Amino acid sequence: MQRAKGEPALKAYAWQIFVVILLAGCAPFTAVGGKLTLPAQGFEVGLPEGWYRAEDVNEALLLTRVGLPLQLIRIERVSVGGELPYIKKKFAPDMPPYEAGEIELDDLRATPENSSFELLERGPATVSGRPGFRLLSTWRTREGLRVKQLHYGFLKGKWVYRLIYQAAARYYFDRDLVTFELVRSSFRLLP
Amino acid sequence: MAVLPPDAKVYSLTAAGQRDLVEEWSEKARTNLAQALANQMARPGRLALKGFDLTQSPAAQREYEEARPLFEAVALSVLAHAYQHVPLRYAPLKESIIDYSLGPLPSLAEASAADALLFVYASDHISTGGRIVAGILFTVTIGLLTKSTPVGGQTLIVTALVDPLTGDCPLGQHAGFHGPWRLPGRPRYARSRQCGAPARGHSRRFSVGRVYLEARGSKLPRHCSGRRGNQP
Repeated sequence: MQRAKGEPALKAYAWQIFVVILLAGCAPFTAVGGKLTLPAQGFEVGLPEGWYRAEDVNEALLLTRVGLPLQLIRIERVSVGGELPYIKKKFAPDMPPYEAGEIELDDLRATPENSSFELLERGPATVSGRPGFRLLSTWRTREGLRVKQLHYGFLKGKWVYRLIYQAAARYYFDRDLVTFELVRSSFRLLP
Repeated sequence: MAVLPPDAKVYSLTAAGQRDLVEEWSEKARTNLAQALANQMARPGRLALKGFDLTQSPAAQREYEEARPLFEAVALSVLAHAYQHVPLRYAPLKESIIDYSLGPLPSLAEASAADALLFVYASDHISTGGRIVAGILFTVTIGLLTKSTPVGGQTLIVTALVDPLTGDCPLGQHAGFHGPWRLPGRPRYARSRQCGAPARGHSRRFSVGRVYLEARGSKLPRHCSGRRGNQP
């Protein structure tokens, strides 16, 4: 059958492209901007214009601008009593920020998919007026991509809050770091 | 235009849906792709293609080793974003043009002495015997009722022209599209022919086609998709 140029050719394998997206682990995304309040997560945050939110991720706020393999912002809270996936340790409600950061760091270091892990910086930080920790680390993914991650965290009551920015170390991390810091500075706990 | 060594990954797909990278097959695929590119370079045409030996420049080699996996991530992101709506509507792909980059590649620029670098990423998924049997069983049972077929192994080739000075790259994909190839602010290189048409009679195979460089700073499509790669 003779095909016209352009669209029909595209139409012919549109479903295949769709399958590729599915194989890549797709998530429907919607454009964001302005302030977002998440009562279930106990916080509100200002969202950057031009970014997109993964709609099918319920346990966290997951944002990206050009694609999750290249950069993401993830904000979430997890229970203090929950086990971390790789080191099987738990936080304690009265744990100082430094120790909480140590646990997060150990778990990140133990992630089996990561290689060549390197801690670049570590120190205290303040998030939404609360004392917390800051971790800057880098590693290679299974595909060989070097990524960088900036992780802010703090404890409040029975929750551990995480504000994470992760991006390809080359080009992308530096490009969107300012955006992430703006997001972090807009983060507020709900009363 | 300097052609970089192609990157190829061939996976084995199990009946359970797990995929395992097969290094031996991947190496063979890289060899085949490199040979195909070499054949293309030998043909006279309006595109001036040339290969270059990365081993002659350790700095360029290092830079390539960093840029190669980044290109893979870019390719998958472009696919997810630029083609998000394709199954539902075919908005002109120019509307889906996004600004992606590999970052400046000064060592590769110097070593290649080329106006543009051609990156090639390919992946293939080959079903194991167990998966094929499972597919047949699915087809003769549920498939006949629902008129659906199981998804087979996917074949994908993504190519991109990259400006070595800026690293700017896939700003739009033109699958099955006839259009010019050019870099921003640079003369047109050539007019492409059929780009990435699916292999006839083989519904599982297709190539995404060539990546086209034109606009800069264009907006993203309204909805984007992505892979949850190495997420914390």
